[in-house]
Amino acid sequence: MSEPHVRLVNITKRFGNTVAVDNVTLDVARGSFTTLLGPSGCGKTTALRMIAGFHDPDTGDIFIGERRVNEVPSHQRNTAMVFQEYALFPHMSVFENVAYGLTIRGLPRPQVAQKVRATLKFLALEGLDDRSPHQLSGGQQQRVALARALVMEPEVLLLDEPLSNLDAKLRVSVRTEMTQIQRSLKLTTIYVTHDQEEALAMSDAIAVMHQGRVVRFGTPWEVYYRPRDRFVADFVGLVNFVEGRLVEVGPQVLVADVAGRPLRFAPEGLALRPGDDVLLSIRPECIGISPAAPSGAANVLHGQVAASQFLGRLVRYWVAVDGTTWVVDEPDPSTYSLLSGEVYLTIEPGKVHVIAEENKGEGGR
Amino acid sequence: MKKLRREPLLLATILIVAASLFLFVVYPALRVLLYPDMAAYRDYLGNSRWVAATWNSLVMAVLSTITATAVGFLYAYALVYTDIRGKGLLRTLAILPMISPPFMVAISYIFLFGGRGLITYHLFGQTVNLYGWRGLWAVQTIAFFPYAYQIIAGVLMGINPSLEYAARNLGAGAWRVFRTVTLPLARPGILNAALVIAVYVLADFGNPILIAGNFPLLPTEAYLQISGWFNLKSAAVLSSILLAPALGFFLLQRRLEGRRSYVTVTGKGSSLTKPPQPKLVSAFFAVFCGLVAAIIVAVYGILIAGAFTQTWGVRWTPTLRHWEYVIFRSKELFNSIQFSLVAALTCAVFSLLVAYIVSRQEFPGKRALDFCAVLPAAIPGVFYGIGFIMAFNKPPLALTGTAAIIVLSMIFWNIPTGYRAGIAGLAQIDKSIEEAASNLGASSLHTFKDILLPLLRLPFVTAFVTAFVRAITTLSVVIFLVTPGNNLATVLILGLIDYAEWSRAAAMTTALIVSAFVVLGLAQLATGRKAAIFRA
Repeated sequence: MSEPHVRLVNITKRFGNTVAVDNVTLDVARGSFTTLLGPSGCGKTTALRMIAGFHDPDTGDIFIGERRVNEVPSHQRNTAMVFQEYALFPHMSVFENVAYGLTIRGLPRPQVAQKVRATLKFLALEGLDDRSPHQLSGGQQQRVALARALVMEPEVLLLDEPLSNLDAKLRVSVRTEMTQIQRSLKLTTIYVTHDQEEALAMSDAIAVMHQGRVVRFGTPWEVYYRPRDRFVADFVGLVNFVEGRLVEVGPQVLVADVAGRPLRFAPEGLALRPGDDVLLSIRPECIGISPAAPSGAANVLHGQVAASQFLGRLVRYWVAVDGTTWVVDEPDPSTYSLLSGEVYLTIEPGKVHVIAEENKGEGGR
Repeated sequence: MKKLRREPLLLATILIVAASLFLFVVYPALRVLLYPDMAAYRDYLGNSRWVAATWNSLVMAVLSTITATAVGFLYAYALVYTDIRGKGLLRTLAILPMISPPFMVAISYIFLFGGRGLITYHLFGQTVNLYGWRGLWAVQTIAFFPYAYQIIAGVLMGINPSLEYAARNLGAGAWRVFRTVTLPLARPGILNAALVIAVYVLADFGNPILIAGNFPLLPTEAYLQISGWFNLKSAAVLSSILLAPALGFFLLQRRLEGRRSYVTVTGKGSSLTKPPQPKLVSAFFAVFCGLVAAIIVAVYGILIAGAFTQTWGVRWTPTLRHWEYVIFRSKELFNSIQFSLVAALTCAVFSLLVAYIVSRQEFPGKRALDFCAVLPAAIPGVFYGIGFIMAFNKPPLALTGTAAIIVLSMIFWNIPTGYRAGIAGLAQIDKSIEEAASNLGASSLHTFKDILLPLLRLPFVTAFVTAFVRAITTLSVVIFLVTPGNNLATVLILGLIDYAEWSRAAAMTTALIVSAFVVLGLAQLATGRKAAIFRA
C-alpha cells in the first residue's frame, strides 16, 4: 500500500449526548478503495460526512493529502460524493446535473460540455443528456450521480451506500462496474455500506465500525478470516463460535478442550499457554460434512442434522453436537441429495481462527 | 457558527434579514406599545365606551368564531365525505370571500338590508336599522368561514379512511364512527381553525366600520381616535389592548400546531375513498351547501349588479359610468395593483429567504427570527398601521407620505404566509440535494439561488399570490399610510361609502376582486394548477 491520502486522526463527533464517532483514527491509502462497514448507527456515514465537510468533528484532525481540512467548508473540498438517494437536482436535466459543479468552478462552457459528454460516455449514459432525473431508471440515476461526482475529477471520491436503492441483481452488476472504474482511474475512494458482501467484494481495505469506533481495519481477507473480536466475526459473514480452554500447546498444533472434547487448531503465531481460555471462530464453509465417519481427519464431530436450507449454490445445515448447534455450509450440493439424521463434521486445524483471548466476550451480541 | 465565519456573505444575509425583520416588524410594534403613558391607560379605564368596545370585540370574536368554524366544518365535511354534486363550484365559491376586500360582504349586506336595501325597503317597505352586532355577526360568519373550511378540509382529508373502515368493521354505525373516530381525529384541526379565525375576527376592521353602526369595537375606535381627533395616544392604547387577545390566540394556536397531530400517525396516505355516508346525511349536506353557496352567489351577484346600477335603491337603470370612473378617472385601482405587485414579489422572495435561513442554517437567535417572521400574523392590521406611522415619521426613517411606507407595510405584514409556505416546501426537499450542491462547490447562497429557489417554485407562487391578494384587499394596514397622492382602492372605497356613492364603491370592489382573480388564475396557469393557493 502506498502513502495515506486521507487521514482521520483521533476524530470524535457527538450529536447531543450520542457519540456518533468515537476517537477514530484511520489512514486511507492513495488510490485505494476503502470501505467503512458497520451496522446502522455505527458512525460510518458520520465519518464520511465529516470528510465531505458536512459535519465538523468535535475533536481531532482530518487531512486530505498534506492539508488539514477541518476549517475548509464543504464546497471548497473537492471530495465529490455519491449520495444514497443520489440527490440529483430534480429541476435540471442529466447534462445540467453533471455540468453543475464545473460551471460553479467557472470553467468555460465548451470545456464544460466536453468534459460532461466524455463522462457521460464513459458511464454509458450517452443520449440521456436532456432527460430529467425522474425519467431515468434507478440504475441510470445511480450512474448520473456517479458521473456528476467523477466529472469533478475529485481528489477523493465518497460513496454513501450508493447501491442500496438498486434491486439485488443490478446491485451486483453495478458494484463490479464501479470497482472497475475505480481501479482504472486509481481514484482514492471511500465507500460506506452496511452490506458485508459488498464490502468484501469491492474493497482494498475495510474498516469495520461499531458504536463509533473502528474495531478492525484490514484487507477483506483479514477482516473475514481473521476477525479480532466476536462482533467483527459475527457481523461479517456467518460464524461458529467455540469457547474452550487450552490443554496442549505444540509447535504445529494446539489442542483446546471444548465441552470435554479436544479441538485441534493451528497456532497462528500466538503466544498461548496451557490453561488459557480461548474463543475460536470457524466459518460454516470451512467445515466438512458427510454421512459416514471420515478417516484421518484431525477433528471429527458427530451430530444430528437439526435443520437444513437448500440455497442453490450451497446447502446450509444446522447440526446439533452435544447440545450446541453448528452451522455448516456444504458448497457442492449437486453430488448427493440433502443429508439428514446422523452426520460427521470435519474441521481442519488451519481453518480454526483464534479470536485473541483477551477480547473474548467483548462486544458480543 | 463555524460555517458562518467561513461564509461571510451568508452571515451578511442573515444580519440583513434579521435587521429588516426587527425594523419593520418588532420596532413598529414596540413603538405602539411604548407610546402611551400610564395616564393614557387610566383614560382608557375611565372611558365606558372603550371598555364596552373591548368587551364587544371579545364577544364578537367568540360569536363569529363559533359560527364561522361550525359552517366551515360542515362545508368541509360535505366536500370531503359526501358525494354531493358540484364540489368544484362549491370549492371555488368558498375561495371568493378570501380574495375579496374585507368589507365586500358588508357592502352587499347593506345593498340587501340597509336603509334602501333590496329586501328591507323594497320587499317589505321597512327602514329597520340593521346596523349593529347581529348584522356584523352574520357578515363575519360569511366572510371568515372559508378559512375554517380550508384548514378543516385539509385535516379531514388527512384522516386515513382505513381507520373509519376499521371502526365500521368492528361494528360501529355511521354516526358512531363520526363521533368516535372522525371527530376526535379532526378536533385539533377544528381548534386550530377556530383560533385562526378568532385572530381574524378580532382584527377585522372593514366589516365593523360599515356594519357595526354605533356598536363600538376596538379596531374601529382606534381608527376614529386618529381620523377624528388625531389622538395617537388613545389609538395606541386601544390597539395595544386589541393586540393582547389576538397575540394570545395566536400563541395558543402555534402551540397546538407544534404538537404532532394524530392524523399522521398511521403513516402513509391512503388511496382509499372515504366510507359512504347514509342517504339522509348526504341530503342534509346537499341542502346545507346549497344554502351557503346561494348566499355567496347572492352576495357577489348583488355587488356586481350594484356596480352596474345608477343609484342603488333609487334609480335602477343600468350604467357603465361607475366603471368608467374606476378604470379611467381614478388612479387608486392602478396604485393598488402596482403597489401590491411590487410588495408581493418582494415579500415572496424575502419570506422564502427567511424560511431558508431558519430551516437550513444554524446561528444564535434563530428562534427569535422564526418568531419575528410569523408575528405579523398575530398583529391586527390597525395596530400595524399605527405602528408604521409612529415608527417612520421622523428622520432617519421619515417615510410617512411616501409610497415606500405603503409597500413596506404590505411586504412585512404578509411575510407569515410566504414564510410558512417556504418552511413547508423546504421540509419536502431532501437535505442531501443541498449537500450535493455544496459538495460540487456551491456556496450557501449559490445553493439557495440554483437549487432551492427553482425547487420552491410552488411555495413561491403561493407566497406571491397570497401576499398580492392580501395586499390589494387590505384596508386596516394602509388606511393611515396613504396620502391623496398615493391613495389606494380600498381606502377610496371607504371614502365613497362615506359619501353614499354605493355603486361606485361596488364597482371598485368588483374591480379589486377581478384583479385578485386574474393574478390567482395566472398563477394557477403558470404552475399547471399545482400551487396550493386558497385550496385545501
